Amino acid sequence: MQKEELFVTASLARLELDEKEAEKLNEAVTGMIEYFSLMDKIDVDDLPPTTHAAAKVNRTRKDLPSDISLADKMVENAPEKEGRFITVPNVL
Amino acid sequence: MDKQDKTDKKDKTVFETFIGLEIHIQLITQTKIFCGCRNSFGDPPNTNVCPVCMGYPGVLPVLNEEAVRKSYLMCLALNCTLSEKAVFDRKNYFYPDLPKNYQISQFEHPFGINGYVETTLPDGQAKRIRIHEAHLEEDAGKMIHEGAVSLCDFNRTGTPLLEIVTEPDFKSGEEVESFLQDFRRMIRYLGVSDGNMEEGSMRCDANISINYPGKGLGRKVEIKNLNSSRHVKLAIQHEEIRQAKMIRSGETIIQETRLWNEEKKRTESMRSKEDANDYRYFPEPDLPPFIPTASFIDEIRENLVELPHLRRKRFITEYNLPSETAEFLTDEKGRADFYESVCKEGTDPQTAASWVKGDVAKVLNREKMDITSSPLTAERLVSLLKILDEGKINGQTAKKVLDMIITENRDPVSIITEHSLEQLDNSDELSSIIDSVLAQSSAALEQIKSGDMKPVGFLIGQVMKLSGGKADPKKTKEMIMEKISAL
Ligand SMILES: [Zn+2]
Repeated sequence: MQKEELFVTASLARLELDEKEAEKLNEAVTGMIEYFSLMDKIDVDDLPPTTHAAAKVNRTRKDLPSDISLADKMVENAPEKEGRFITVPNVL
Repeated sequence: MDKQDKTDKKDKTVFETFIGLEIHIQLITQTKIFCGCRNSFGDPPNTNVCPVCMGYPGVLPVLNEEAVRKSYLMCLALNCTLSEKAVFDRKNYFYPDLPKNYQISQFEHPFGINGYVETTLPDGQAKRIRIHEAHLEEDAGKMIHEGAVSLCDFNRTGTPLLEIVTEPDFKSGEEVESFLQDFRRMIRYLGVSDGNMEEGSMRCDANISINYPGKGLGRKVEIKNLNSSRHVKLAIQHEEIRQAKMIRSGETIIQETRLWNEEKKRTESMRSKEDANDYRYFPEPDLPPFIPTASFIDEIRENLVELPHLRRKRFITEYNLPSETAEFLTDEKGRADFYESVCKEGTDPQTAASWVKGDVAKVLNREKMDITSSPLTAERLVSLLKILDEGKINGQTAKKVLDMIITENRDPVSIITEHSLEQLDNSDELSSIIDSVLAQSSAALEQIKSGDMKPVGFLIGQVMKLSGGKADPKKTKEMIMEKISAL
């Protein structure tokens, strides 16, 4: 894997990487990609891609509100908040 | 070419403009797209949230069947080809308004593709706009940026959003503005969305490119942050001029996303990195595909109401109405339905139209009421207009009664009886009122006898006043003339 590609991927995931970390991560990621290239060698030409483990289709639910609410607990559990707002660093 | 030539102000090249739209509409449902949280606007922050829409590990999204129905209804109205098998995909992006770090959307197999919709241009001409696709996805949350922190409200996260993408078939901002008004009317008719652009339940991004005539599409620029159809028009017009200036001075248009600045009335570059648009779509493993059966589609088709532009056309021919009146009557489905039920009961369509457009609209506006939820039912208006037609009350009284029907929520008959508003025609009462008026108007009588008919109007007015508005003006005039000639 090219170092630049690694930095692009990191920026998409909003991860900050310094050169040292990149070095280490590059090694690991390259190993993983090599593993995928092993799988690429298998002939799958006549197989449709498997996207879902179960063969079921059209699983839907009625448009009815659930009567239990975990909202208060979830807000309570948020690491940082302001009133009922959950706060994050301003990323813009 | 030297610099002078490139910036030649005399360059009168008329460029061809191509505009396509991405319209997002919030579907009207009780709950969110993949969980049982309420889909409602304006609740306190983070009250309609649960582990599913907050992206907690181990949860399973289950598709809301009402969101699916409304999506297919829209696809049918847009004449789309339906995918045999619709598939949901994960669109990966990292932003705090979507806690899962991906948005569930449809990429390769959306519900509908290759449709079209008819619109009426500002000059009255019909135009067909091609629809590239319509796909269902989840909306993101809302964020308020406050200095170093951003406040997140996830109530909107996971509410059903239908995205409709048009082909670049629009030629000007005016075309887009009038299309958006047509489109809003259509989604309200179908009941899929309330189409409120100010509140964000209908949002529109525009992509625009210009080029020398006959050269096809240019490099497109996407404009976001457009909160009304008027601003969409203004932004497009601004962008046309900006791009034309650039091309004339030999600059290259940068393919980018720009934001409309409402105060400065101009578009501004977002300066986002191009590589940020790598969404790495892949099929959502937690949601099975959706295969619409023929009977499911037939059932949806039954809810396909007559669309506003067709209804407007029919009103013009069937009821012989001027196009402006037909447009007013068909603007809201409830109003058009009301008008047609009044006509069905035998009321003359012209009379019904002038009342619905005139006094009915006036009183409803004043009372800030909607015709469908007001006390004025079609039956009540029919009954009122029948009493008027039979000459039992006069036009002035009818207007008064209409007002009372709406403000007091009562039947016209009971109002007329209680206030004894029935018109006096050739009754003795009218006759004696006329006698007393004539007795006090000797000067006017002299004038009339000498051949000057002007004071007749004055006399009628006096009779009306004395009768409390109940006199039939036509009868009154006849009786006055009779009495004068008998003098
Ligand atoms: Zn939820």
